[in-house]
Amino acid sequence: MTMTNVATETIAGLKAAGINFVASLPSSAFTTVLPVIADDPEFLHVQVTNESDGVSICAGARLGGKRPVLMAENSGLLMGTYALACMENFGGIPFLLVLDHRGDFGEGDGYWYFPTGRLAVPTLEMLGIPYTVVHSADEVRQAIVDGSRTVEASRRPAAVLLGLGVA
Amino acid sequence: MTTRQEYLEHFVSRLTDELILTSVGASARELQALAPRDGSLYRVHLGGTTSMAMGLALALPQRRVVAFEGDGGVLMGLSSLTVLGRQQPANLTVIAFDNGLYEGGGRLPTITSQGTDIVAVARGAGVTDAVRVRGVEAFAAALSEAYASGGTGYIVADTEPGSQLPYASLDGTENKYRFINHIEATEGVQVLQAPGRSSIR
Repeated sequence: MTMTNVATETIAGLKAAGINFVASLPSSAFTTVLPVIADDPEFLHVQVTNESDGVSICAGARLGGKRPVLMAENSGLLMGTYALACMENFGGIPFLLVLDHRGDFGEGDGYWYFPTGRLAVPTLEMLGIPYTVVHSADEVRQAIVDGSRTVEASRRPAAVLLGLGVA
Repeated sequence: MTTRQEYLEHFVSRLTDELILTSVGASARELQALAPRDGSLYRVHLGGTTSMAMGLALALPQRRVVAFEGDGGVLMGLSSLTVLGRQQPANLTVIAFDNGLYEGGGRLPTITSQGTDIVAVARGAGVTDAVRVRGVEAFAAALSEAYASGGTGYIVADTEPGSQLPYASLDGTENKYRFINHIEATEGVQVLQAPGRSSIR
């Protein structure tokens, strides 16, 4: 499968940020990048079946010294909300979220993306998770680096939303 | 029937340098009372303990990690068993106390008391070494086997409800920093970036 621009930029961003542990579920923006991550020895890749588990696995990996990211569709953020909220019992545990922002303004693929898509930003704000939304593949690398810098300095999660125009 | 405290007393009697994560609930309180130590992280959210311990075990493959669950937490986090079945970190042992109750939630029954067998669910998800034990002797043998095996140990212990031990005052944030400091000191890894100029380009 040919690497798309967003796939190349995502890998470059993760490596520039020192990320070495990836928990993931598929989403359309990740179609070409996840198989590459799975085969790249610089990443320890864990395919999860529920984003809530992905949150917990990333938190555990972080306590063991890894630099984790959870990659999922934004609907998965809702699945992970309980686990993300409970991390505050420990005063927060740092890792990055890279979320495919389906249901973004201008999305034309289907009504089913909107009920969860429109909750992504309010959910991040409700959880107190800093975020940025990017709309071009060319912005992805720097957004991931900036997101990681935010994670490391704040010692809590931060999120990059891959909005319309990225994939 | 054997109490959770009796199982835990055996576990503590052979405890060395394992990193321990416990779910919220009585096992957190009891383990904290029996063996307060910096290498234990107490009160991981319900349904998340196995996953968090799995992440830690994958990050530190040379270090023994033990997760303490209850049947309510296992039932809530069933999807984690599918990931555990694929990853099978050999340094991870999960111990699930099955008393058939939400003991911390008014002692109403879980569905394990109505026929659901979490050992069968775990095996079906690929956690092929999952076993059920009843009594300290069987628990001790299963624990020895789990530590020696090349796969993830998964022990479901039939447990008498009830708890006698007191709460400890340790706060979750302090617990986290003690746990991280312990891992940094014993594993030679840097878990948190020191404040100051960023190392990220």
